[in-house]
Amino acid sequence: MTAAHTQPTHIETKQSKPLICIRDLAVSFETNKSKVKAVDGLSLTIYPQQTLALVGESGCGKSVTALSVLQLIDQPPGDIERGSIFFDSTDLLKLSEKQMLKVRGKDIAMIFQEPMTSLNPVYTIGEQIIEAILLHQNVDNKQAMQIAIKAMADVGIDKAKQRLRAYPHEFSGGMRQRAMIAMALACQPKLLLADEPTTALDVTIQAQILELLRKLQRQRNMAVMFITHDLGIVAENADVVCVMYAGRIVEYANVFDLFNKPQHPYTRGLFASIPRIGAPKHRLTTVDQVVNDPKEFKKLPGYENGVEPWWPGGEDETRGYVLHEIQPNHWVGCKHCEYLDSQISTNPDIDFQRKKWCTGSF
Amino acid sequence: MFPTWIGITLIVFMIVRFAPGRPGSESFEAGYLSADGQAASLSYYQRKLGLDQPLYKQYFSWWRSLFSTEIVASEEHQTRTFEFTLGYSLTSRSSVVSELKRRLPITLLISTLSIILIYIIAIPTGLLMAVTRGRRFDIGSNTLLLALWSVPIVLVATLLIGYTTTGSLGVQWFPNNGLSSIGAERLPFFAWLADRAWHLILPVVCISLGGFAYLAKQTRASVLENLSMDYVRTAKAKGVSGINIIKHHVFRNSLLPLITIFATLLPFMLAGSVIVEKIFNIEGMGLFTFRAVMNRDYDVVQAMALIAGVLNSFGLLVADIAYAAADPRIKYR
Ligand SMILES: Nc1ncnc2c1ncn2[C@@H]1O[C@H](COP(=O)(O)OP(=O)(O)O)[C@@H](O)[C@H]1O
Ligand SMILES: [Mg+2]
Repeated sequence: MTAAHTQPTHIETKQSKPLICIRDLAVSFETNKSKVKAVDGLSLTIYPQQTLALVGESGCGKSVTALSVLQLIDQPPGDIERGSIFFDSTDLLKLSEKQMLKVRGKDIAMIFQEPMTSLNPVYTIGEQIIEAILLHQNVDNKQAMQIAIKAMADVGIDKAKQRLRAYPHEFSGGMRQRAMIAMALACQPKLLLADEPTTALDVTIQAQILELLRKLQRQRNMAVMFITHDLGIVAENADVVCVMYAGRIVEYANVFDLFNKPQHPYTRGLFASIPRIGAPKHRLTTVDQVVNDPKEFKKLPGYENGVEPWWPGGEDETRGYVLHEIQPNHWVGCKHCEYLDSQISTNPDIDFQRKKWCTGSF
Repeated sequence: MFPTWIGITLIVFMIVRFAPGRPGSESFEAGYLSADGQAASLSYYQRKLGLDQPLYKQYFSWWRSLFSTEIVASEEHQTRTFEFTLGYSLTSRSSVVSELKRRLPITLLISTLSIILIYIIAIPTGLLMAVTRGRRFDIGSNTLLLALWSVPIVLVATLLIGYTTTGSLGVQWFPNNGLSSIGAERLPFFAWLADRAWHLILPVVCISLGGFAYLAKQTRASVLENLSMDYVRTAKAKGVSGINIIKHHVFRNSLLPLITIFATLLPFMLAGSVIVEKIFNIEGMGLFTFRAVMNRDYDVVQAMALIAGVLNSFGLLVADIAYAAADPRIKYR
């Protein structure tokens, strides 16, 4: 804590090396004769110890992005059409299945939305954590057991030694998610993919799990890709936010920029749809109300050269979308136009970290 | 369980009484009785078996006949002995229980062997089908299983007898009759055992085919269902390899629903034994039931149905207990 105190709130130096760079990732699914583009040309960058929040409504391709990192997309029906995922300067998409086995759970771990069904019902919690440890660490059963007990204690499960022998159904939802986190972190991963880890939990448990994740991230200097559709969670946890819609990035900025100056109408729509206490309204504003408003899709501020925010539908889709850095370190998905063609295009890449203990208020 | 059994007796009782034919009527079909003789024969059996009584009285008197009481008079005093007989056979005149003592082990032997065989072969088959889903092995097996499932035991048995026992195609691999060769009881133990096994092969194969097809399909479905479960994704994310996902994670979970199928297979086996024992001339419960049905031997048919019901409910009980033992989520209360 003391070291962090001396740091400024905004660190905007690009000195450290990115931990993971996703570039132009495109994943599609073949379903009964039609092809769904789940992710279409997505790029993002995560630095060590950074938290990137991947935000967007259901079905916009968040889980597919995370699963692609671990190459857990079933092929078929899935197909990773193009792109690269550089992790510590190796392209994960070029690794063989055998090489991926050494990455999964070791360098990159993942936790999921459904703590109820994500654990194997016929094995004890301990057996499942120990399995992960034995896979990636060169230890014997006894040492693995000790590591598992420590991992359980680290996520706040008391009487860890007895609890190792419990079956998943003997745990509550929150406890199971703790066990999932213990399992994911038992091998000290550098990156944690958290796919809506608190969505299925009730609010108080949700807060506890988030607090736990923050604590563990700080202790272990771990980067987190946090998938959520809860903007409150984003506000409290994220360093960088990537807003997705229909498999594409609509806005990409650090958390303060995004919340203070949202540029894309969809992002504004998301903020507008957050209910406010005391707001003199009978009905909540929906995202649709904002994105269907033609006024919103007029030229972006500061761009009089015909730069308009992108939205799916209508014209030729592949030519129609450009992710453009409209201000330094602030990217917005724009409609293709001549002016943008002449601009240098940059990959979304923000090396920014907030002070981890300040749970932001905006 | 008792209410179930009583329900079974009621239903079987009604079916038997309303089925065409009467005790004694099978002798008419041979055509060696005059019309008068037929009428006399029928009314003899009617009175002898109380078939002229109202149905409910017949039903209760059947219950009474399950336990015969005998009054044995000795010089000093009379003693009443109770004997559990399950009624008497009209044709052999022996009690059903005494027949069962000889026949039930034979039928249970065939059924048990078949069920064991089914599980041993069907589970790996289904697993392999699930893993090769959509590929040639899976599609081929699916077709074959459908065929096995649809082909009647009678046809399979006839074909097997025709091609493997008679020597008409140059092979005479198996015996086609009974459970032992003549004089087998004088053989040394292991030779006797081999002889018994040799006789058992065809009947067990015939009776297993349908159940095998069923269980293999269930195994395939169960494995596929488990492969799409969240816990499989978790295991993959941990770095467990594909083969270990199947071996350590999916296999055990997929077996759970298969345990209870034991209770489904048992009635299959008992029903199949009627046909198979008839075809291979094996003196088990099935053949006994078959004869009883042909002879309209009411008491025996009813007793057999009752026994099948009791056996099946024990099968259910065993399946439930085994399931509870295998699944940590279920505890005895
Ligand atoms: N296994 C699959 N089969 C077919 N389509 C899929 C599959 N997984 C994902 N998709 C498609 O990809 C899209 C994005 O899914 P997903 O990434 O799970 O969304 P979310 O942002 O809610 O996590 C979905 O709309 C769906 O059409
Ligand atoms: Mg999702």
